[in-house]
Amino acid sequence: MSPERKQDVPASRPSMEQINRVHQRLIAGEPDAPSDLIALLLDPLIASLARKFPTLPDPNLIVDAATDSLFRFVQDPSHFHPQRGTLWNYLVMDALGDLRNTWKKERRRLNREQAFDPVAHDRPDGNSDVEGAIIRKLAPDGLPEGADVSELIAQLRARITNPQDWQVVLLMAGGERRTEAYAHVLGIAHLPLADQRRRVKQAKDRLRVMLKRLGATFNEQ
Amino acid sequence: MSSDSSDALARAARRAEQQPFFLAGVLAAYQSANHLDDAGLADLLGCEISDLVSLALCRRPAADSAQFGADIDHLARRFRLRGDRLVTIIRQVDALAALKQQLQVDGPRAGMLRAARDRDEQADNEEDRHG
Repeated sequence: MSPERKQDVPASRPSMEQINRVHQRLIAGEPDAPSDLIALLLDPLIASLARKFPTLPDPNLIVDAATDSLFRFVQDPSHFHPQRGTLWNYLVMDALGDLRNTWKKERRRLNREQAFDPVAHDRPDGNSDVEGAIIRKLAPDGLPEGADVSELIAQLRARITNPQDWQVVLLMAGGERRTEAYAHVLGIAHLPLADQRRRVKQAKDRLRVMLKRLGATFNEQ
Repeated sequence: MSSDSSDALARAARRAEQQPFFLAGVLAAYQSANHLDDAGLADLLGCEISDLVSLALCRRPAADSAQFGADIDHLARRFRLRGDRLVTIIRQVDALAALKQQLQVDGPRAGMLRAARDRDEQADNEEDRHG
């Protein structure tokens, strides 16, 4: 599944005059120009990228790609050549490249870390359907009409900030029942089995409560 | 660093702490070394706490640059802060960094000296025992 979607520029994009004015101050070496340029363009860039990548599991990937693109530019504005296009387009393209690379790495990492049954969950193209697996567990009969899958996943991912907790959610979504699999992601595999079981149960119960508060209930039959 | 800025901007300011180009790292290092929270830092600088994120994302004036004074004046006017305090912060953080670097350079040498001293003491003890 490609998370990318063709999309035009966001409405909140600042005017060329505004961008050019701060750009000129940056070239002139004003120490507050980097800050002003980042403040002017960060949120519009994020909005633009979010429209192009609506289904990323972690919204911070977009925030960081936009941030890094702006950081690179303010530290070395000479990489941008005005005769080749606008600064806005340059920054969008730069951030998109960054985001595509990050997304590929993230997918590789997810594929490595998730303990899904490869036969049950992998797609014919070899890519694991992480979001689909979670949604199938959250709503086995399908989401209500109008429900936004990517938004639900993004909400869960944003609220479950602990990487270990997220891995536990992925395991639960994958129907994993073995204590050892959970113990491994929780980093407690060295404990006696009884302690592992107790800690795993605590973690799963805590996450079930958190998911319930978010309006999601795992179907773990 | 708290402020009225967007969440993304605040996150960017935290990310900027890792990049020496920005003032963010200087401010964070000073806060850490002096156990200052954002309110304390804003109070010291005489600026609004809501300006700290913007200030953090400014280019860090280089103390050894001819532009240093002009950069400090520029930031002091822009954020209505105490330029002399900003100079103190930058110089203190520079001094701390130099000290850390010195300790890293001297560290292995200090270890060698300690080992040599231990060997000398051991030899002295042997001599005392034998005679």
